[in-house]
Amino acid sequence: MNAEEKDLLHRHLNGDLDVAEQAAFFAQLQSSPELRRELASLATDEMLLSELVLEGRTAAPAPRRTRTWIPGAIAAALLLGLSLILILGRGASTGLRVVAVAGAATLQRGDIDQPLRPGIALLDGDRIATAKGRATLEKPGTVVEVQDDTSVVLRDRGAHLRLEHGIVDARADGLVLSFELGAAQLRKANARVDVAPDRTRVEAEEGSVVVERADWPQLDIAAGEYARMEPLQRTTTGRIVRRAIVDDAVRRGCAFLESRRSDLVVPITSEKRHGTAPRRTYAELALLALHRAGIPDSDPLKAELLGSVKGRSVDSTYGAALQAMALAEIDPLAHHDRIRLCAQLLVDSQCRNGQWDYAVKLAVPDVPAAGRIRRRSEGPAAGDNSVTSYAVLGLHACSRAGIEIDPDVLARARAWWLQCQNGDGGWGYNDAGDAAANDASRRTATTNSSYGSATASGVASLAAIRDLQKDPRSDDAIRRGLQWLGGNFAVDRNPRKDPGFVHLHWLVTAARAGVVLGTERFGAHDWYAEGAEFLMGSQRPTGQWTVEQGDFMKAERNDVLDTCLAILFLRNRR
Amino acid sequence: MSDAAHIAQLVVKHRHGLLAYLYGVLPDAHVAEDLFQEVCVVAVQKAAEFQDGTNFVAWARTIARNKLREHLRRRSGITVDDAFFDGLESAFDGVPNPDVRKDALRRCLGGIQDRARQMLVWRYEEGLTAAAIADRTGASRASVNSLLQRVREILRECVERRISEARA
Repeated sequence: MNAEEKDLLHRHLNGDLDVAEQAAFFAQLQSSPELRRELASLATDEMLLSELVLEGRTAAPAPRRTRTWIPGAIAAALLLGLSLILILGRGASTGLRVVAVAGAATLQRGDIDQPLRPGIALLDGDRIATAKGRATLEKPGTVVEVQDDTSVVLRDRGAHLRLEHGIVDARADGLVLSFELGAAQLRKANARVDVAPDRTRVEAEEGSVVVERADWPQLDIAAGEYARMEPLQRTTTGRIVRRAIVDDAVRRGCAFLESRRSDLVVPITSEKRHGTAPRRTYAELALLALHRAGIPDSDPLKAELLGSVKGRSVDSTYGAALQAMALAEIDPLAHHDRIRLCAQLLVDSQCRNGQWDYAVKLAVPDVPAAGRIRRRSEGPAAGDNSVTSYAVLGLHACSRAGIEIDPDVLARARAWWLQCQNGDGGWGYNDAGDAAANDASRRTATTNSSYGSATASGVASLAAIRDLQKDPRSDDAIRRGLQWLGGNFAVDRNPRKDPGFVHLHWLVTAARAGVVLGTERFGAHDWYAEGAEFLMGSQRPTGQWTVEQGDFMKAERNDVLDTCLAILFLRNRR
Repeated sequence: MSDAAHIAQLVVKHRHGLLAYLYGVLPDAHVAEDLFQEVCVVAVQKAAEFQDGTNFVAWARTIARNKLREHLRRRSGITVDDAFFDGLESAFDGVPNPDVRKDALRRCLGGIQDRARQMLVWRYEEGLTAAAIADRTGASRASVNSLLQRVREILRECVERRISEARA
């Protein structure tokens, strides 16, 4: 399908064609099976979209322009069918009542969908579906919080909730939460069940939870433990860090950032390798941290940072990558053009060897409004593995936001990571086998022998590229990298480095690798619990973290930097 | 069960597929819904002509074809022949069950925020065309068309990812 056909197709769907264009479009449809297939697929989504928008009606009902009659016999037949569905679908009372709804949530009762509202008494068979919203249900002795992007069906007079996907928090005694892989029964417990396509996690904050799976032994988890289930694999258990404690630490970290707001936008001159040293600020990193912390877009500091990020040119690779990650998480559509700009800058600045250097191309290119982001120039000869991992994760965020990246850019980055993996499965700052690629000015601190943050960078980058390209060529390298991480994991330092050396960068990159790969453990280490406990112990009374030691990061404002990184780690498990 | 009640049941069952077909030719949610109701009326009136065991969707689409033809001719003077509808119907036959996509789409819609969500409300709830949205917002028609296209692409990518994740 060529660009002209695609344009006509979308304008047809937008009601934007005049009569002559409409006739021309129909003629093209007749001659192009591909165009017909695309229309059929899009029209189906459009029709569903239209239903969903009408279900969540936000404006006054639009006046119907035509049609008001249906002959009585037909109306009666349709009503009869509808009544039967309603009668058959109506269940017994569950005793549960909706007490609060934040954002958008839908109640599906029989074939009828309606907005969920406080006060509704829920029946067996009711399905509650949230998109960007949450709902609280209560009956005496039971409180159920249905979190964002969740679908749950009520059964057995409210004694059993079937969780289809998403997250439910419940405080109850005897309540059963079932899911595809099994069920969890709460015993005077405050528990969370989190159902994702690849795994289900049950956490007990208080009390205990009995976890049952067909063909597997029953398992009891006590307060402070989780059980993780994956298809065809043994249930694993580990410890959790209580959400209330983490939430409090994050809140105090945000308050510290608020107190240092001027430092967040002060330009810092970055490292220099080739050409001019780029200037950057902490605005992108702080914006991402505040967003992950759940700070609303209306917050003055968040709004100021967003304005600052979008209002100035992007000089550095770190800046472009972090900006893409932050904007993609905040609102990929509203910030689409700016994310495309970041993607283009990253693509055009890739080094010839597959790495990235500190600076991105300064000349702001004319970024095509649509279509794949293609490489239009080459960056310098080489960069380093730290900044390269940020660039790759930035491109991953762009891609997840719907922007297609030149596959050759990703393939070149993959080839670099595969080439420079050390024999022990880890990675260093650069390619140990290529002395010319060493960064002489940093050699004393950053080595090409394997260490924690560089290895986490390698694993996270390859996993992100594999997530986009579904290419198995990096499977073995990722497996060996994970073995290295499992054997060397520590939270009190960046493994194989002096204490305090880019310490929180290590934890954040390890978390990124864990999240992209969907793994809770590196070897025997439960990375989130161990990392979060370390951060709980190292937060200062003022809410800040300053874990960095030594001279390597002396140009940075390490209290601001580390506080942002700590929040990103604590909220990275989503 | 009477023929009429049986047909009413089948119409309810295949509602999404029929509506999508109507919408593909006349992409206005209100018009498509009106035509769907007219198709229902004719289908029930002709219930006795439908032979159980034959393809109900194909049968109902022949009724829809006539309604679409009539509407196009009346509204814009455009005439289309059977070959046009034959090709289109086989394309719709290849679309997976819309009901499977609806849940995924509902979840993806949650990720669509303010500006785009407002566009969707104007387009689908109020039935505004790109030109009418452009008038209302002061934006150019091209940028409204471009944004709606982007919303579609992002939602489609999201829906397909969710469906493939659910199958994995």
